[in-house]
Amino acid sequence: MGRSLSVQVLVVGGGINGAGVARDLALRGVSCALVERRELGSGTSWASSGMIHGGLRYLQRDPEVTLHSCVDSGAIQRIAPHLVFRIPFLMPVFPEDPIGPELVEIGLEMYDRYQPFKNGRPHARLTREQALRLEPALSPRLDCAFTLDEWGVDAARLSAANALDAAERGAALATHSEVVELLREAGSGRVVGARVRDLLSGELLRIDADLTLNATGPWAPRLAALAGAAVRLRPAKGVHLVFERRVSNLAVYARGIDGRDMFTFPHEQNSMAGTTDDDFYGDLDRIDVTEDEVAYVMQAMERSIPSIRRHRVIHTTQGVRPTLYGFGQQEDELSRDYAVIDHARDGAPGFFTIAGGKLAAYRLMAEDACDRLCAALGVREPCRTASTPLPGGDAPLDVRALARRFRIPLAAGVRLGFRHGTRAVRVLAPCDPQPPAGAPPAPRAVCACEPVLDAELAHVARAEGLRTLGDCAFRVRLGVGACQGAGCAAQAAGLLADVLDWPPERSAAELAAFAADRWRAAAPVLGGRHLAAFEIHRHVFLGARGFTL
Amino acid sequence: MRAVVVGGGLAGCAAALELAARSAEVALVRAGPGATALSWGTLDVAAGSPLRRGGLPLVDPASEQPLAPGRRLVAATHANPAHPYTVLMRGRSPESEVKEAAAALDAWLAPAGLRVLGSVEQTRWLADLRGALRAADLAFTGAGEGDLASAEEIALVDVPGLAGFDARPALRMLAAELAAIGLPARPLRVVPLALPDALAALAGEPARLARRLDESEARQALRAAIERLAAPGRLLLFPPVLGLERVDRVIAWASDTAGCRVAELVGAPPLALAGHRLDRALQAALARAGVEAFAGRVSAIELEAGRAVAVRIQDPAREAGEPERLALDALVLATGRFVGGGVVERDGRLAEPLLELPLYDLAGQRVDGIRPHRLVRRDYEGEQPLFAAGVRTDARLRPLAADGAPRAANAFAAGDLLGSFDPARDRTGLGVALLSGRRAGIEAAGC
Repeated sequence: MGRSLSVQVLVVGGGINGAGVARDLALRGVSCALVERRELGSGTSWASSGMIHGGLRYLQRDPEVTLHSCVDSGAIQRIAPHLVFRIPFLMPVFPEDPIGPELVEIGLEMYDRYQPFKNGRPHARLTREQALRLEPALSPRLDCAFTLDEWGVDAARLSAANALDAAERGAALATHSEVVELLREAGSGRVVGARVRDLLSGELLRIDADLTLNATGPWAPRLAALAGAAVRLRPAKGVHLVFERRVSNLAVYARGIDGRDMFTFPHEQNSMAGTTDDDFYGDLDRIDVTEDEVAYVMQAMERSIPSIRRHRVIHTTQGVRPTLYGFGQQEDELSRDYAVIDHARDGAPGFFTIAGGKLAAYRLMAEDACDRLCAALGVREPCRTASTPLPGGDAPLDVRALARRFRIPLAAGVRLGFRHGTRAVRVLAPCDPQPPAGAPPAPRAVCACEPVLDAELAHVARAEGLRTLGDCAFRVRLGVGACQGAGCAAQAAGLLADVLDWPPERSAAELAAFAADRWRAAAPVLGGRHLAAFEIHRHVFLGARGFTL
Repeated sequence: MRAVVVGGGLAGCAAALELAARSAEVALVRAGPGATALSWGTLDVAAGSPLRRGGLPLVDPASEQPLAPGRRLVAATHANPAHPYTVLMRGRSPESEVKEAAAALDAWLAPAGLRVLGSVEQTRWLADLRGALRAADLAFTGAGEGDLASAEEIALVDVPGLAGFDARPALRMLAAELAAIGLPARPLRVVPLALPDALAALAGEPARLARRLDESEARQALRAAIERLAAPGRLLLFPPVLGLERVDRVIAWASDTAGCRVAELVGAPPLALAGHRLDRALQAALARAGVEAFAGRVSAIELEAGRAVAVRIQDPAREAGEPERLALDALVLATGRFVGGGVVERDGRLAEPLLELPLYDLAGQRVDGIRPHRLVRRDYEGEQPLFAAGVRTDARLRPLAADGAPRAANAFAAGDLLGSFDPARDRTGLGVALLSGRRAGIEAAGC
């Protein structure tokens, strides 16, 4: 028969939208369950540019989107200051560009008006020499350049932070769990919950819910179909290339051969370049990156940064945007607006879908969706997500003091503080060196690229409901650096096995799955020095296999 | 007679040492430590692979008994007719080939304290850092002393704070592994090693800790802690940090001190110092044999009338200068695969950069001139044409040009540069390096 639980709202989809809704509901005292088929934020959120920007490019067609994104970017900076980093942009203007500096500056002056909402500085116009001094890798062919201010965020971690906060406030959280059936009320056709299968244990869980929200992003039509309802999207694939390290100090605008704006930008320990934007008709569970997409992005970047090909691309991210349907437009011109759909219109009352939108406006979209859900439930509590800090975002963290106290390298402390904010102290608490006699050993870095400490792995396994080794790539960025897990995954599997009591064959299976994940992310860009890295990778992962699998 | 060997891993060193033994004047050019220096303590001749798909069989399907290493080698040549072993073993006895090669290697390394332990008649079961088992028949001093079958009790030594090793998960894995292969049950435990303060500070940097243990006063400081680990019939398995240069001395000392057997676990990156030791011991053997060593990368090979006549070396320290020219009568290419730079991506396509040799995958398909990512397959653990890419040779190990004839009458190839095998899958990596390196050296000496 399986277990069952009963909640007011069932949220399906643990990306940024679903996690944001679950947290909003939990803060309003509404009981909810959040069900995610894989790991929190591992789908479109992970594949995003990780920017909470206003979107200069939406200003012309979608000024509402720009406004919402800028205002909400400011809110995210308030509630999760630890997860946010400033990204100054450089926009070079080349002699052959169709839009000259004067016209560019008019656009930027307009954008400047939105900057205060997101704590950004107004633009500056730089001479050719100033721009080259600031970013020596820029093509010297430029006439001049402009700066503008944007913000980056760890989108997967932000999703997790929202979901974990919801869980701390009473929400039920089930990752690696798939909705296999929507429960319907006989006669009315009302959706009254779902049957959910735990994909790791195989167990079935029945969730009874007054309302069900479909927040599955590009998968929304698939889930809606289980209720006989229709969601019309125009899914668009986006690909990023991830570099081994920072290739520039600042983000740099680039232009594709078709005139599209792209950029390369510092992101966490790396640089990323992208993105593409193409209609997607394929299998959402198997999004492959093509040779053409890689070549297209590199070609665009090369025009702004001629030396870009000397840098090593270590993997790609690929995802599908759940863009709202529109016909007869270029992908880029499609609205980034969002919609909350009440499927009563399809004969499925009690079932809602949230679709479209931007990462930067996730909180606002969640607020809107929750207003609708609460109205349907008769709940009058106001939204509190714009002012209530996410876990760890309540105060600034003195990283230097943290590193000294727990005897960890400052670089490790910085990254730990980035992911956990003030909660970093809680992460390291089991390693507290007081009293000095018989002090436990200092935390060790398991993944050197990020770095990730053993104490952090133990913490996310114990306190954050982490379920697989593969989850670590999204939750703490384990194994997504230059070595793609060759130096850390086997040790991490052992540590997780210890905490989560995995039998050895499970650790071996986790390790094999991790290697396969990294392989899929790296194979499209395999070349140059990365070939040597993967020669070693294969020796390590195939050699790590014992007899238990 | 002057020979030039390009590449200083196990294959190149074996070739150079065989040449020197035949009174050739030998120069060895190497750009830096290669894949050999990243190896982890076993000499996998035909270590077999427990992968369900592919790999070499470990068990005789008829008798269900473990296959002896020599028999596995025969199986390897049957499974893949293009495998370098097939070329090497034609008309020879694999067992005696391997025996002879292991003895030669042992003689080269012994003065530096590294021995080649084990035999080709009997499978030895060693444990690695994660507790996984390896059917490693031949292993170097360090891991080589760690045969599990003969231990009455197995104790994993936990070094608190040591980067890269966790004893508890390794113990769980090892227990399951031993059960899986049906070795009789025996006590397994974790024993903590209390490092004195001076050494504890180095636990985060295993290579420095290992280097300190080469010093006798550091070992003195550790004496009491080691004595506490003693128990009769016990095999003490340490993480691979027992000395950076002279693991033999550290193991002998620890074994004397504890009064029981002591060995290292087989390493795994990033904790794999065994490759460094092997590399150092090989370099020392070259020096003893009078092989002249050149640091740098060969930038060009000169050919004349179907023979290689000289190499040019680009010394990284003198980028501007004219490349040095070494004239030669015989040439051995042991440039490795991707780590070594024997196979590279050039202008987006796979190439062998020195002689523009054609490259072949497992199925014998030409792969040079192809974009690397077109040679990858979705299944990570399955056959990957990209990682079997290398040159093809005649029976004398002379690499073949596209027309099927040797590229040069006096050029030979060895090691991972040889194609049509995937060492990560079939675990024949250092075995191919040793056997093909020796053969290439012997053949070159006849030029």
